[in-house]
Amino acid sequence: MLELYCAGLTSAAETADVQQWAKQYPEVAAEIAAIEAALEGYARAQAIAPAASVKEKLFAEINKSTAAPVVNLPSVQNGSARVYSISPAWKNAAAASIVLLLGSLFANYIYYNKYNETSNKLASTQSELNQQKELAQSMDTAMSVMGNMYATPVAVKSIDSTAANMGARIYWMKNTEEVYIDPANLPKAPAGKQYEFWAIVDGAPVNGGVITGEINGKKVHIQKMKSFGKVQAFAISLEDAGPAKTKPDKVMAVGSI
Amino acid sequence: MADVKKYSEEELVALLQNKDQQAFAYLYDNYSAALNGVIYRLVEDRELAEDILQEAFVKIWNNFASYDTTKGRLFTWMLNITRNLTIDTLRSKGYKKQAKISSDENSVSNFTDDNRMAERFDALGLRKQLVNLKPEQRSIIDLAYFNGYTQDEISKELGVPLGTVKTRMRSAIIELRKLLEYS
Repeated sequence: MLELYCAGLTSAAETADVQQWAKQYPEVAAEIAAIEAALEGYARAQAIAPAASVKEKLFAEINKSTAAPVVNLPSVQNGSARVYSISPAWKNAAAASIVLLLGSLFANYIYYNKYNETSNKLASTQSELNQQKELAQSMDTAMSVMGNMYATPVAVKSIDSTAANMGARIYWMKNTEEVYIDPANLPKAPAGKQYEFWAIVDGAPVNGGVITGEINGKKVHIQKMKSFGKVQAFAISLEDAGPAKTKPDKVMAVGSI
Repeated sequence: MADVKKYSEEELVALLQNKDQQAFAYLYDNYSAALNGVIYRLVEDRELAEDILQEAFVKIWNNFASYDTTKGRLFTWMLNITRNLTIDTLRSKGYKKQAKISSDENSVSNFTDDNRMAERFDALGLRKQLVNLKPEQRSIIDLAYFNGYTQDEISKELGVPLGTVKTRMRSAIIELRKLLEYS
């Protein structure tokens, strides 16, 4: 087996085994060394000296590719290589600057993470603030509508016996004829349905728009609807979801001024 | 070359790992002829062999860090690099890999007539000993060790079963060791 190993005739697995044995047992390693030495002798017995120029070319070649410090190959053969050394002060300076660089990179990394964290916090605080502002604005609108001296409140009440408690409050501005609705008392529209707002003008229903029950899960308190001229009454109907209709399908609640 | 310092293999390896050029010069002086002999056997062209030899030593110099002493002798490692490079070169140059089975003693005597042959390392003495190896033993060592053939390839080349390849290789190496011990 060891002979086959040394002649390169073992499989990859066998080679790994032999190398493992050689590490564990010095006798195996010694035996391998003896066989390799014999094969080396065999190769040496058939040696052919290369031309002297090969050595010169070889050293010229490795000096081309060797790092800067060692120069002037022929002097190696004379036994005195010229070696340019770097003074210890520069070495220390180089070492110190590498340490500083690494430290700086580390600090950058830490500060960059902190910066990211802070800017994320700032962004979330700002969006929270915006939400609060919107809320305050809608409350303001609600207050100004309800507190307006021209506002005429109209209660729209259920005419549907199955939903007796539903209804909404309308604020109709006498001076500007603007119409606001507080839909807070409307139950949630069934899936695929929506509430639409109507005004009765000269005895005929005119669509005043789709009522937005809630936005992002929050109930809407005051929604501005379309304005009409002379209005006698308001109504709310339940319609299939989609664009506003021209005629109400199922009127749910009615209230007259 | 008489004043060349002698190194033990361990010293040589340590110096070469530090890119010591004097040690490398010693390495070259000590091993180039043997490696050149191996390359020449494969390429049979003196100039090409020397080109490959130079390239092999550049590789040895550049890759010395990857030599692992626990995996065998320095020469074995160098031979592997050299052999692989030679085979690659032959393939890339479109040569047909030829198995030259040196069963004839002519090759030995031819070398003796050659004035560029290495006279160092007692090569002459060793060479005389090899005459005592049987041709079939020499050819199997040559195919495995120099040509880098696998068991299968040797079996096909020599037209003998795998089992015979193994036993013959074993006896050839045992015989070689005997011969070299008494040389």
